[in-house]
Amino acid sequence: MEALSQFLSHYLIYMIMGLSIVTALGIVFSKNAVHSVISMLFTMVLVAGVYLLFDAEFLAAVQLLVYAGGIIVLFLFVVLLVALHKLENLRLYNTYSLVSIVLVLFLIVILGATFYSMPFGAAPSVVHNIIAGGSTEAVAMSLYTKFILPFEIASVLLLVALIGAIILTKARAEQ
Amino acid sequence: MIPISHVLVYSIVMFSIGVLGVLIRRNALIMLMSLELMMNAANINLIAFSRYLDNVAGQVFAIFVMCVAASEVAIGLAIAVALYRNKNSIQIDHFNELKG
Repeated sequence: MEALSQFLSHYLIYMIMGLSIVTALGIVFSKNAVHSVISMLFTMVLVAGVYLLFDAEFLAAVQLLVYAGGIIVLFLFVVLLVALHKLENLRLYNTYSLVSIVLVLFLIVILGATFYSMPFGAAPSVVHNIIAGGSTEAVAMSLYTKFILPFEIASVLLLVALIGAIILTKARAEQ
Repeated sequence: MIPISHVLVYSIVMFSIGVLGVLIRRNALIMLMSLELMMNAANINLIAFSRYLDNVAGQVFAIFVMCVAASEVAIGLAIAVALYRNKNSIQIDHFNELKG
């Protein structure tokens, strides 16, 4: 049991992180846009696993519902709606892609070295404020008391997005 | 628990893959997906620090980030559909009318 818990806390998270990096690369580098969407689905599920291992099971559930359930379906719908097969013979990448790749690798090395050398302390083994194995209650308590104003503003933002999406895609009858 | 510097390196790799997708792809839908990847990298940082500092505010903030990401995707895909209806293409460099 001890060995299993050690395995879960240590090696499983590295495996999930590595797999999610591979699937994230699949989003960027796959030829077919539908394959990109499927890679994104796997990435989101794996990121939900990372959240779960950091004792944020409510966030993991929200990630699965919002991303894997909603946003992926929306993306798939639009990818199938626009006729991508007509664009197959076009170039996939921009002209200066090699420069971009070098710059992004430079960014990873610089920021990664900076973050890696920062003297952060070790994780507390016992957490009190986020209750390990049941953080939903703590999140709800915080969300509905301390963060009630941002919560209301977020609801207005979602309403604006809803109305905006309908207006943008509405067929214009007068034209 | 793994050291938090490993989580930070992981999230900077995810963020950089998102930046790479926005920079090198010409398909507007793939660029939107890469934006989502960048927001997820930020969320990973928030949740990891919430665990390491034992403070629930990081998780609450991650919920707001997801809310903004969802509305951004809805608007972005609506714009993509509108662009496709007008120009019959979603290759991002076909839209250069504003270029001087």
